[in-house]
Amino acid sequence: MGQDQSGAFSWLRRSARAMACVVATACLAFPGCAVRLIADHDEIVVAKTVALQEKAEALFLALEDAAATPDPDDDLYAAHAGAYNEILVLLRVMEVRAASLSKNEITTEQVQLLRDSFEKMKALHQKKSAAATPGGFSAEALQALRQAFVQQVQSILTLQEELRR
Amino acid sequence: MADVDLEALVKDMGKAALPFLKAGAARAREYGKAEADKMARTAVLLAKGVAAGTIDEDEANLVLDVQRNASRSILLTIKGLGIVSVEKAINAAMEVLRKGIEAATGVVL
Repeated sequence: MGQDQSGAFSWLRRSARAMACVVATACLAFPGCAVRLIADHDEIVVAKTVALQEKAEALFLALEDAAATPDPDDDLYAAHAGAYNEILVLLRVMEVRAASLSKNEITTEQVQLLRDSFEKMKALHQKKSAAATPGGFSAEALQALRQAFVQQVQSILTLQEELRR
Repeated sequence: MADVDLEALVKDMGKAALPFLKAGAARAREYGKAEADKMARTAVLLAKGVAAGTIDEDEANLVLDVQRNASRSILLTIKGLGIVSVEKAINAAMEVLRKGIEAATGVVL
């Protein structure tokens, strides 16, 4: 047991020395250059995320207003198709931008998840509007959906803020 | 050229790196807890809506899908926070190493 421990410590010491040598070599080879494991903060993705949030909030507000009125037509997908498409266009642009940057896989995946959420919401709205008794989303469903969307948007902005370093 | 005390250097590198790793872990814990609270609130809204019949089955499934995406996005942010703190820790350790080499060799890197 004692021998095992001393062997392990000796192995750790050797590993630490080896690592220090590797880092020293890197330091000497690239003086003044900092290690980058993840992409830098991207002002364009941040600006587009904020623009997206504005458009999404406008859509949720319009859907909430529609759900509160007795007129069934303003609940239907056709009345909001333009807003969905604007949001999806923005998300596609963001996805292409995010994917074009090196070491930016996390942000790219986050944007893809957000696009997936809006595509699913759009698909259900279309389905409800084409049903035998056409309708839209309930006010309660919209409230729960909005909270989850906001969390997705905030997760992108939180990471971008951290990437300012 | 002066001798380099490798043991001391490695110890100093560890000391320089540790605060960044601790700060990163604390930040991730704080963020994760706040987001878990929000998820719980959404779950309560969903449960109440389904029980009251104001949220139908399709809507409930959509809320769950969007919440699943939100959870994955939050986990990705936590992963990113971890990567940033590891990166800061490595750079702090490298800075100690650079200074150590400069002190030992007299060469400015």
